[in-house]
Amino acid sequence: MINLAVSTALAAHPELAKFGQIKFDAPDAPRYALANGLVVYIVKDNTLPVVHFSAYIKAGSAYDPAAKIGLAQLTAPLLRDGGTAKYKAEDIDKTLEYLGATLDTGAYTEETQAEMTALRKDLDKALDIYADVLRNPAFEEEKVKIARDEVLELIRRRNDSPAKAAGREARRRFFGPANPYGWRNEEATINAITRADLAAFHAAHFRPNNMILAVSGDFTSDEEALAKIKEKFGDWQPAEVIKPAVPAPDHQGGRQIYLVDKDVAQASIVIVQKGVRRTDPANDAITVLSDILGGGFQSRLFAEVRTKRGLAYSVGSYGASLREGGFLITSCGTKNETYSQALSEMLKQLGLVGSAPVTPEELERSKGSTINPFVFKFSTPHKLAVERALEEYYGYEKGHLDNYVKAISAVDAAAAQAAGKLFDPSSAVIYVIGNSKKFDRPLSEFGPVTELKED
Amino acid sequence: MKSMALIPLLLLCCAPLYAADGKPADELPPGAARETDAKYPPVISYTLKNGLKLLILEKKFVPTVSFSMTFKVGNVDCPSGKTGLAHVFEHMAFKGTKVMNTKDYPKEKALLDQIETAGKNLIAEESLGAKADPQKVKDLKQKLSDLEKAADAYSVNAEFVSTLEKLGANGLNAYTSVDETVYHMSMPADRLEAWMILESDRFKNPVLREFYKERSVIMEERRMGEANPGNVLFENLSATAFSAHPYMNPIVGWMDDLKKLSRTDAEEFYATYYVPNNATLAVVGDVKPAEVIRLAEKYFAGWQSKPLPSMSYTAEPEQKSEKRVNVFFNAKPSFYMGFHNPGDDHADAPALIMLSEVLSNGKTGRFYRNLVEGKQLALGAGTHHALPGNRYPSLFLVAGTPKAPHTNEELEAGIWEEIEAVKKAPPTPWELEKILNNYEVEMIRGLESNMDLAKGLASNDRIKGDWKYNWRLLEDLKKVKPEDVSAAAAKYLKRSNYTIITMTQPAPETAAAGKGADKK
Repeated sequence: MINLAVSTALAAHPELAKFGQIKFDAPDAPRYALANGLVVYIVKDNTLPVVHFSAYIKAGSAYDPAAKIGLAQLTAPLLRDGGTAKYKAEDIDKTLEYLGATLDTGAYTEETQAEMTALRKDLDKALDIYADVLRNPAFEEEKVKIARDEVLELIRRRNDSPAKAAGREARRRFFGPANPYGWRNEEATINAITRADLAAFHAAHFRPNNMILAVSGDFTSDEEALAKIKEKFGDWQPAEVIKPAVPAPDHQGGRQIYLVDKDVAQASIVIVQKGVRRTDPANDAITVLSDILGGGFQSRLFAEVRTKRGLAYSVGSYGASLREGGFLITSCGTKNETYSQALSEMLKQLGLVGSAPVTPEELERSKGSTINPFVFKFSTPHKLAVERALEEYYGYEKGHLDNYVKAISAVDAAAAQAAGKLFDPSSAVIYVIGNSKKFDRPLSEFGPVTELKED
Repeated sequence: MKSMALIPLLLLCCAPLYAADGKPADELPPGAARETDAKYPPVISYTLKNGLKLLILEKKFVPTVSFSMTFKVGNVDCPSGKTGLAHVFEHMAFKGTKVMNTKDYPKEKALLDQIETAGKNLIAEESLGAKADPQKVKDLKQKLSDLEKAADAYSVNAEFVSTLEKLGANGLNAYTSVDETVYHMSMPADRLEAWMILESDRFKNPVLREFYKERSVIMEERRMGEANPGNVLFENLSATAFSAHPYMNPIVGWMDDLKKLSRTDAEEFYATYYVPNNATLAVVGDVKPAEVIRLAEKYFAGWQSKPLPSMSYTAEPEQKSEKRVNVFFNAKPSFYMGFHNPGDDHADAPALIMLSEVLSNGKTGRFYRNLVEGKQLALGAGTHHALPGNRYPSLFLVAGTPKAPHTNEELEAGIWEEIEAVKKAPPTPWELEKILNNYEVEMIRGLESNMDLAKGLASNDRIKGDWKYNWRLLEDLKKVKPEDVSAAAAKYLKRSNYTIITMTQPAPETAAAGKGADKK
């Protein structure tokens, strides 16, 4: 048990002594499973005349074929924008927009999400469209062209923001060409996608047994909500879904440095390192440690690079965990003339987390600021439904959310420091977009540099 | 589609959103008023003797509470030559007080005073420009740096923020606009008093330590914007469309002004505008209103009120010619158009809002239907009826991003065709009904998040003078007739009231310097 009283501030404000650790248990959300495998979490809440639906389908860009990168990302918006068996695209737009209902679909690395919100009085109309969008997309020819052209235009524009480009390219270099976690859309792979590919991708992945639904809002009862969901989704046939394997990241060790030499107002520095998969038990310690390293105002990176040296506005680090592996990203935007000071300090701090002890103050601060705001994961009925749905969707053990506070509490200084070894700066991919003519020191002082052309 | 009655707000036919605490309203102290009209949430208003306005809404789900402390001071209020000062102060408001972030304030203060002298000397020397003595500048920088290191020995890094986060703060941040500065966070509900303790100390006794280092951080924030195409377009649009009104200035400040700002400037700004009679505090969540008022009295009553300066600035003269600027920037083409609007208080404002929505609301909006689909000229095109602000007349903004091979010129022409079409033929009743329906749904959805509610209540109260502004506006929007929209388009979206900033890539010869793609 640790003391979460706000000790450092007590001399200033003794009245704060009474605030200890928050006692808050994660609320539950009822879970239902249809015969076809569709799992639904429902949180009935009658405070506002609104209903929310969020579907998470295991159909992310990680499942794109290598020759058709962008398939998931092109499929997702067309579920809605391409019309369905029952509704023409134009009718979907007109009906939903007139009612003030929203239906948005998008693909991420590991899932496609479909979000729908409507007034309670319009539930039947909106739900009928939502179900048809998920089940029977028509991929109208003209709409496919517009969606494809949009993705192609975004490819042309992908280097307009150097900070975004540096993050994407660093990740791409880290994972390498064989690993879909690092892929980006290319003109050729987008043009290779046919309408038949979209339909096939949908047929292969969009199945009731391959998704989870989080539902909340103004239902008279769970039974009412469930009956409506069964009516729209109950006769959807399940099928075996084959997940392509995701190979290990390309980058196994050793420092790699990349430079894009470009006349920019501010240099962007991104460092990528190996992390762990989502369900790895080390994640609790990593959560605490990455917060100490780069999680906010008090973190070491923020304090050293920003507060003490004034070298950056934006500096920090975070860990991202996916099904088959994770990565840690440390990034910073700093003027070209001082980039080496910022990079040196970033590398120094990355080295220190694995070698220098975590102080009791750091541990206490990090755990307090992780545990005490836990309640905000559940701050609306829909967030509660979604948290519970994602707990299952991401393959966590039952009780993951219920035990979260205990698990974070149990992280001690030794465990946090051990997690810090992952941040070993000698095995980092370092990606810099900046104007080397203005650099205070050559980038090659940090190791051999591969110069790249922006593309 | 048949015309449909507007969706009623429906709040009455649902279970209560707002917890009834079972106590009669008269348990509130004298001066507190609970809104009783069922059209509105039952917000409790209360004003402290020093002028600090409280708006409280009890709302329960899980035990959390959200706070928005909104000051009517923004970039528009910065003195001439000190653009960015409002935003600089916002950063400094995270640096602690006489008791927070310090180990020994009296000793620290002596050093802070020396730092300020050194900082001012450096500013004075650097302001000489070409005549500045390089050795003197170097020595002064060294002196400043040495003193800063000495002062660091007495400071506790990020103690104020760290304390709040350890207590469970969520979404702790602040923002500065041209019109206002907003400090916001949510907390677990039982931290109400902790918030009062820490925030009252913050606004009553701020110590602007680490000023010159934070100024460097803000210069990096400015550079981050200089690397962002949208930001560059907007900065150019404001600076071009306005010739006299301070809405012409970027919120982050001009670099040259930032270099000359001193801690003394920020302290004077604080003393002028950070007074309780210039602030509204909204508290939304699982709290007892009477308790909020009791604690606010306990912790904020000692904050001294003070008369505010005039907030009347040079009015923008009528624009009489088209203004057209092309910015060279290493990004794909895009543009912003701006038309001076008459301000949100003007009778034409509701029609301009409807016009903005007719053009760009959703996939059935005209820009999407005709320019993204239809002619397929655009990746996207959008509008906003009033940017950068609402306290004074501002700009009706149109943003366009062409889709290759189409150009800025083609999309600009396409947008003008849409504008001329609205002038000639009023929008259909369906278009206006759709917009009103969307507005009403947004009003309902706006009640879902404690934080959004707190921000909306405080900002509308302080800037618009009425926390019920959104509801009032809805009534005004319902009165807009299709022909009013056409009339507004004809009156404001015209060439003599028009500024356009286009962005194109520099010609190859100017791009060659430092462009990686061109050398190897």
